[in-house]
Amino acid sequence: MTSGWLAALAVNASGALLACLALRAGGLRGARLARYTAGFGPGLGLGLASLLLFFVRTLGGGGARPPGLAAFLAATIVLAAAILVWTRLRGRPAQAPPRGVLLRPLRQPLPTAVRVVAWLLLAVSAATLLVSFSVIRQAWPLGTWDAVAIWNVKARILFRGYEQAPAFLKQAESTSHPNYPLLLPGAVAAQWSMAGGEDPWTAPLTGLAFLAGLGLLVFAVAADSGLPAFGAVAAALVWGNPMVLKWGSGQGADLAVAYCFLGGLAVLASRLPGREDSGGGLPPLLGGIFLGLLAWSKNEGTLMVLILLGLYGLWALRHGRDRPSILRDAVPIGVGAVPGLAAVFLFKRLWAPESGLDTFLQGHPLDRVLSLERWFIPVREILKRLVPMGEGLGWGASWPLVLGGALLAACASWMFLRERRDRQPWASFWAAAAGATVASWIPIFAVTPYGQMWHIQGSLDRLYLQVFPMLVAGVCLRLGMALAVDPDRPEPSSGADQESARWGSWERRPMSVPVWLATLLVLGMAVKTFVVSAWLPRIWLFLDEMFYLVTAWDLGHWGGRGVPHPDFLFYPPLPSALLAPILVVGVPAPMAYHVGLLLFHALLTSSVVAAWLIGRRLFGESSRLLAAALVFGPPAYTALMLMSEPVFVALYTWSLYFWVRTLQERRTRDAWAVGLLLSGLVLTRFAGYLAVGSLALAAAGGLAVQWARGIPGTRFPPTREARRLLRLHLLLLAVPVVTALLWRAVGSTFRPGAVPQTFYLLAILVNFPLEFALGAARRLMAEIGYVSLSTYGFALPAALWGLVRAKHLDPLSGDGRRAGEARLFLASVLTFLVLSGGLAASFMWFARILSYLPRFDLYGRYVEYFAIPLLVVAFGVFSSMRRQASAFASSLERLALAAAALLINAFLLLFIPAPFFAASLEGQIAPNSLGIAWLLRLVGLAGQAGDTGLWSRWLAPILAALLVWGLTSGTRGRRAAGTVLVLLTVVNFFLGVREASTNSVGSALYASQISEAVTASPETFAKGLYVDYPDYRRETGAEAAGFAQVFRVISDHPDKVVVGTDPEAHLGKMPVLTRRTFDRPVLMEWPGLPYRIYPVDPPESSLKPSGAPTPSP
Amino acid sequence: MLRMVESGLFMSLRLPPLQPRPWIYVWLAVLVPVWAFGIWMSIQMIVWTRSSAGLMCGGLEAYAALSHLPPVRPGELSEPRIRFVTDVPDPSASERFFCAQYEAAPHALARIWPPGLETRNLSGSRVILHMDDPAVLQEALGKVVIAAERQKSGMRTDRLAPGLVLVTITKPGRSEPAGPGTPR
Repeated sequence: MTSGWLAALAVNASGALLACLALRAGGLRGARLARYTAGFGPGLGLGLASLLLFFVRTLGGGGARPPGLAAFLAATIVLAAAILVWTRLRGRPAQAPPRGVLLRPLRQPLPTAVRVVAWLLLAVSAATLLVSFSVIRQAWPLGTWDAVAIWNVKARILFRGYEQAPAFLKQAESTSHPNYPLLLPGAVAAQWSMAGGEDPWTAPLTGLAFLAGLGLLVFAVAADSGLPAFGAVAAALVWGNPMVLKWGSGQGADLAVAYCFLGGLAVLASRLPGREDSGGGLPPLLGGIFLGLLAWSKNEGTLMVLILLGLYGLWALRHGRDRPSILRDAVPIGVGAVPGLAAVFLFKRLWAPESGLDTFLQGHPLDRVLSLERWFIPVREILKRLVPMGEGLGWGASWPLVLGGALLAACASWMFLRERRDRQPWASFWAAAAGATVASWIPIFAVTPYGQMWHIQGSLDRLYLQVFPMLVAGVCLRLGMALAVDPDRPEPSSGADQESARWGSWERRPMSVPVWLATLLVLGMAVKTFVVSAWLPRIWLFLDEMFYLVTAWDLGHWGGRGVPHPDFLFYPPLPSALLAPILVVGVPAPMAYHVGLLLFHALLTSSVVAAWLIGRRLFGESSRLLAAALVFGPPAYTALMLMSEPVFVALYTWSLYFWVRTLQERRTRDAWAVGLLLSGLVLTRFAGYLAVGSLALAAAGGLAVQWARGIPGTRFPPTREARRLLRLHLLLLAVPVVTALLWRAVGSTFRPGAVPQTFYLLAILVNFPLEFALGAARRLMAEIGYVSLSTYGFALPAALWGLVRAKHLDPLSGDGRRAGEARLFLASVLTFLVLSGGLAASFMWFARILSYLPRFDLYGRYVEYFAIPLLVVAFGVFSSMRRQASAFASSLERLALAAAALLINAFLLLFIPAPFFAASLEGQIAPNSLGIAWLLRLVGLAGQAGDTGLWSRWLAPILAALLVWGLTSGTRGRRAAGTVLVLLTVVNFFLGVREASTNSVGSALYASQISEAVTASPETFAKGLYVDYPDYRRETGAEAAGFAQVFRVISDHPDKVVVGTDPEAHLGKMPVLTRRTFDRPVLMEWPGLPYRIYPVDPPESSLKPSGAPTPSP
Repeated sequence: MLRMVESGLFMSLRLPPLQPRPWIYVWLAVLVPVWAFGIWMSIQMIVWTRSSAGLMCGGLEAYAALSHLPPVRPGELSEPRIRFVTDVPDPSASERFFCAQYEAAPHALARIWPPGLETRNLSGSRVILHMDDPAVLQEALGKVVIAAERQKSGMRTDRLAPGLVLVTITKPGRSEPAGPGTPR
C-alpha cells in the first residue's frame, strides 16, 4: 500500500469519525448511524483537509508545503473533542428515539425475491464501479480533460507552490478556470502533503471516495424509508449508471458537487415535517457543513446553496414550523456552513483573479438576455437530454425511469395519501430543489458569453450529474415510504366510495399489467409531445409548415396581403391565425414556430382525453385507457411530423366526443361545440373537405331520433324530443357550412392568386359521380388495406362485429341505450370514413392526372386519424366480450372474431396495389403500424420498401388475429396481448422518431445557407433577392420541398425577398435565385442542387480604369 | 392542476385509491431492465476505454521533464508566466497546453502561436517550444533568437526532450553566453 493509500485512509477514517460523532450527537443510533456515517464520512474528511489547507495558507501564511498528517489529525482530534464536549454540555439528544422503535413496524415487508434482487443489483453495480474505476484510472492516469486542465493542475499548484499559490493562480489563463473553488484540488494537495509526495493514486482515490460516498449517502437516504432494499436499488442505479461512472472515475469535481448537494439537501429535508416515521431529522450542523462544502466545490455550488436555503426557508414557514424552531435549526446550519462559505469568499477576494461573474458577463450580456431564442434553446436541449436517444443515450434509460418514479412519488403524495397530514413537505421540498436547480441552468445558458450550443453540449451532462443522485435518492425514499405504509390502513374517504358507486364494482378491481403499462404510456405520451417536438430537427422541413409559418407572418405583419404558393395546394388559415399573434408580439419566426408546435401538440395530447371520454360514455368501461393509449400512439407520430395536423386530430376527436354528448344529453351547447369544432376542422387543413364526412353526423340525426323514440322502421313521429335532436343535428352541420362559406367569401382578400377552391369544387363536381362509382370503393379499401398492418388490422373487424352484435354491448344498462349509442356512433364513423374516402379518391385521381403528387399515401394518415373512434369501439367490444363472457362471447364467438380478423386482413393485403406497399413502407405505414412493420424489418422479413413477400403479407394478419384472440380472452391472454400491443407501440414510436430525425437532417441546409448569406452579406443583398417562382411552382412530389426553402428565405428576410416569374428582367439588377442557367458569373451554388444565385452587376464606375479622370459637372 | 389530474384523469383510469403498492412494484419491475441497460452501457464504456490508449496527455510523456525546470537566477525574469508554443493546431494544441501546464505546475503557462514569434517581446521570459518537426523547431528557435537579439537580451536553451525545448530569454543587460545547442 502506497503512502497515497494511507493518506486517503486517514482522511476518510477521520471524516467517518467526525460524522459518527456528529450523528450520534444528533440522536442517530444503530444501522442508521452506520449508514449515514459511511455516507457523510468521505465528504467530511476531504472537506476538512481542503479547508484546513486553505485557511492555514490564507490566515496563517503557511509554509512551503500544505499542512501534513500531524496537523490534519490534530484538527480532527480538536473537532472531535469539540463535538463530544458540545454533546456532553447539551445533555441527552432531544430527538433520540428509543432503540428498536426507530421505524414503525411493517406488517408486510418487501417480498424476499424483491429484496434478493435489489441486493444483487447493488452487488453487480459495485463490481462494475470498481472495474470501471480501475480501467479508467489506467486509461486516464492524470484524469480526464477537466481534471488535467482545471482540478489536478490546481492541486499541483497548491502542493508545489503552496506559499505563492494565490499568485500562481492569478497568473493562470481563464481556460484553466482559476476562479473555481478548491474543494477537490485542496483535498488532493492535502493528501499529497500527508503522503510526503505526489502519489499517483491520490487523485483517483479522491474521486473514488466522492463516488463511493455519494452512493453510500444515496443508500442511507433511501434506506430511511424503512426498506433497506430501496437503498440498495438507489445505490445500484447511481453506481450502475454509465455517466456517473465515466465522470466519477475521471477525477472531476462534478460528482463532488452532486455529493455535497445531496448531503445538504438530505439534512434540510429531514428537518421538515413528514419524516417522523423515517428516523427523524439529521443533525443540522452536518447540513450546514455540506452546504458550505457545496459552495466550496464549484462556482455553481454557491447558486445551489442559495436555492436550497431559500426553498428551505419557504417550506419551513409554510408547513407549520414555528419561528423559534426554525431559528434553532438556522444556528447550527449557519455555523456548519460558515467555514465553506467563508473559504469561498476569501478565495474570491484574495486568491482568484476574478469572481467568475466578470468572465460570464463579458461582451454584451443585455443583448443575450433579450434574445428570446437564447432562452428557448436551453429549454429544448435540457428536455432533449432526458430522452434516451442520441446524446441522451449516455445515461442509458435512467431518466425516463427516474422521472416516471418522481411522477409516481408525486402521485403517492397527492393521490394515494389524501389526508393532508400524510402529504410530505419534505418530498415537495426535494422536488422543488431539483426543479429550481434545473431551472437555474436556463438563465445561465441564456447569458453565457461562450457559444451557446457549445456551452450546453459541453456541460449539460455534468450538470445533470449534479442532480441525478439526489433525484434517485428522493424517488426511492418516497416510494419506499409509500410502500412501507401499513397496508391495513382504513379504507378510502367517502368521495372515493361515491366514485366507486357511480362507476360500478369494477372501480375496486386490481389493476392489470397491461393497464399499468398503458397508463405509463399515456403519461409518457403527454410528455412526448413536448420532448419530441423539441427534439426533432425538422423545422423548415415541409412545404405545409413553411406555408403556415409564412402565412402567419403575412397575417401578423402585413395584415394578410397574401403569400405566393404552388397552385395545386391550398392551406386553410386556422393554424396560421393561431400562430400569428405569437409573431405579432415580436417573437422571432423560428421560436414562434416552436411555440406554436408545442401548443398544437398539447392540443393533440388532449385528444387522448377525448378518446377515453368517448369510451366512458359509450361503454363506461376501463378499456378506454388502453384504447386511449393505443389510439394516441400511432396517429400521433404522423401528426407530429406536421404543425397543423395535431390541431386537426384534436378537433376531430373532440368533435366526436361532443357529438356523443349531444346524443346523450340533448343540449344545445354540445351541438354548438360540435359545429364549431368541425368548423375548425374545415379551417385547419387543406384536406378540410374531409369534414364533408361530417354529413354523416347530421344524417345520423334521423337515426338518433328513431333510436331515441325506440321506434322500429321508418316512421318518425314529430315528438318534441325528435324535433330537438333534429334541430341539434342541423345546428352542428350548419355551423361548419356557414364557416366554410364565410371563409370562401373573405378568404380571397388575403390570398391573391389562389385559385384552388373553385378549381377543386368544379373538378369534384364533374368528376365525382364517375370517380366515386368506379374508384372510391377500391380506393377506400386500398387505403384501409394499406394500413391493415396497423390499427385497422384488429380494430375494423372488432368494430364491425360490435355493429352487428351491438345489442349485447351493454346488457348491464338494461334499456340498451348504450348499445344503441355505440351502434349509432360506429355507423356514423363508418359513413364519415366512406364519404371522406370517396372525396379523397376524387382528389387523388386529379392529383395523378395532373402529375401534381405522384404519391399513393397522401390520404393514409387521415385514414389513420379516423381510426381513433374505431379503436374506441373495438376496445369497447373487446372489453364487453371479456366482461360478459358467459352471456356474450363464447369461445366459439371469440374464435370467429379472430378468424374474421385474419380473413379480412388477408383479403385487404391481397387487394393492395403494389405501389401502395412501396410508398407505404417508405412513407407512413411504418410509423402508423403499431410497430408491426418495424418488427418485420427488424427480423429481416421486410425490406426497406416495396416488400410484398409472403411473410410481409401473412405475418401481420396472423398477428392481428392473435391479438384479437388475446384481447377477448381471460386474464392471462389479455395481459399477454395487451403487453405485446403496448410494447409494439412503444418500439414503433421510438424507432419511428429516430427514423424521422435521420431523414430530416440536412434538407434545410441549402435554405439556411441562403438565409445566412443574406444576413452575412448585407451589401450583396442590399437590393433584395429575386426568387424565380415558376421554378418552384413546377416542383412536384418530393421536390416540392424546394418550395419550402423559398418560404424559409422569405420568413427570414421578408423585406428583402421578391418572388416573381421574370428573372431575366432582374438579372444584374438584384441577386436572382433560380434554377435556370444564364451565361453570367454565379454568386452561390450548391453541390447536387440545381439552384444558383446570380449577383448584382458591379457599378459601372468600379469597372472603369482607376486612373480615369473624373468628369467635370 | 394536480387536483384536476387527481380527480379527472386518474380516477377515470381507475387507479386503486390508497394502493400505491402495485404501482411501485411495476416501477421496480421496469427498473431492472433499465438498470441492466445502464450496466450494459457501462460495460461498453469500459471496453471502449480499455481499447483507447492515451485519452488525455497520451503520447506526451516527455512533458514530465517540465516538472523539473532548470532554476533561474534572481532578477533574470520579468514575466512569471512561461510562454508555450506548439505547431499543432487546436484542439490538440489545447491538450498539449494543459498537459504542459499540469507538468510545469506551479508555474502558469500562457499560450502564444508561432506566427509572428520573432516580433514578440520575449525579454525576461521563458518559452517552451514543442514542435514535432525538427525543421519547424529550428525555425521557431531562429525566430526566438531574432526576437532576443532585437531586444538585446541574453538567451539560454535547454533541450528537455526530443522536440521539446525551454528557452530562457533574460532581461536586457543580463546577457549570458549562449548555451550548447543555441543556434547561432
